[in-house]
Amino acid sequence: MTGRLRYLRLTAARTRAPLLPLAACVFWVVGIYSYEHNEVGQTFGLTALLCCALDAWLVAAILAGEPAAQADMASAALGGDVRRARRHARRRRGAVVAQLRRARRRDTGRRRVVDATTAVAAGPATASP
Amino acid sequence: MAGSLSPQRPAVLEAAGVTVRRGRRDVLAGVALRLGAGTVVQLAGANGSGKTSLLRVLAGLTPPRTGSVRRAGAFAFVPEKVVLAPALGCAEWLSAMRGLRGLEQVDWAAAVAASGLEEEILERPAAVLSKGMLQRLALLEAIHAGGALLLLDEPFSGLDPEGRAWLGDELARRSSAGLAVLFTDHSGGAGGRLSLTEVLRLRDGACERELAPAADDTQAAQVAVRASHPDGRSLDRVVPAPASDDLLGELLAAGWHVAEVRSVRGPTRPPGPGPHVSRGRA
Repeated sequence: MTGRLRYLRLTAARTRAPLLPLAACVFWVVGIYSYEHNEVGQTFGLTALLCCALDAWLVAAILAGEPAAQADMASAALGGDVRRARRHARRRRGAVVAQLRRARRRDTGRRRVVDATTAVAAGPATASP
Repeated sequence: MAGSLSPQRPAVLEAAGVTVRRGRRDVLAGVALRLGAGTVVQLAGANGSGKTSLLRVLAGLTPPRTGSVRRAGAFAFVPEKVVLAPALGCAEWLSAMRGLRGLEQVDWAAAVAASGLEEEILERPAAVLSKGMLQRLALLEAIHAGGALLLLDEPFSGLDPEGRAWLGDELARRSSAGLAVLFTDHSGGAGGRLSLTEVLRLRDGACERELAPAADDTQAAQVAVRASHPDGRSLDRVVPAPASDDLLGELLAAGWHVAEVRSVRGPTRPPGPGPHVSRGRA
């Protein structure tokens, strides 16, 4: 497992493919939070959703940054591409699903806070029949 | 359809009923083969006959349309055109591949030097290496992989005469120690350098088994070259037929006048390092 992680890290570090999505990701985050009228809380859900897509792009870029011939040799070293592709697909799917869940949880949490605040503000009026 | 290779030896690769598809076309159907330990088998066939596609299926890089492939133990695959990430250092890659295989590191500097490459290339990024250097590096990694099987796609095509001699010697030595080798060789660079167990010829979508050329035939495929140099030196050498083109090219480039080229029969010295014009006698 250590060897595989080391290989993935090396591939990611030695390819320029992730630079573009990484730059886009940083641009989005900095751009959103540097806008002075935006409260952090208000834009958090939007940022999470945007970063989810950008992170997926980043992961795909890292995986695609490995030249085909190099990937073939690495696959053979691992025992064949079929198993490797399945593992990669599982990993990619897992990363995307995790990001989506996280974004949804944050968004839901924010909505609950907003609903609760609204309910408290409107409390006396709605409490009386 | 079937190639049953060395059934008495333990199998390192077995394929049954394999159909190989390229694009929307089945290029090979019903391929069955069995490779025993220590066998050296050449996949032959015309362009587009499915050699590379079959190798990829046997290596598990492409799933077969039908049939099954079973490999025993670890193996290594080297594609025809080796490409590494441009910024990847050679030593880094060799080390990472070793890690992927779960093997201890080897003294790559010594191994690289033994292969005829300069040790300094280990510190260089892949972007500055030539096609032949990259190929030799990948072959070096595969040879040291410690597996039971090597699948090589045109391993001799990008190598210079010294590289071909090194690869031929390494494969011959390791196959005698039990390593099985399945390779394609459209360039004919392996001729006379490897003692083949069998040749599998791909023709009309089928895989036909052919007997490998006998050792006598291999020895008979020799070429005698006689040349003279304007400075008075002369050269009289007998080389394996596939190596004669390299020798002639080298001689002509060095300003030699080739007086005679003829086929000869009978044993000669075993193929060694590539021909050098400096070996001509004065």
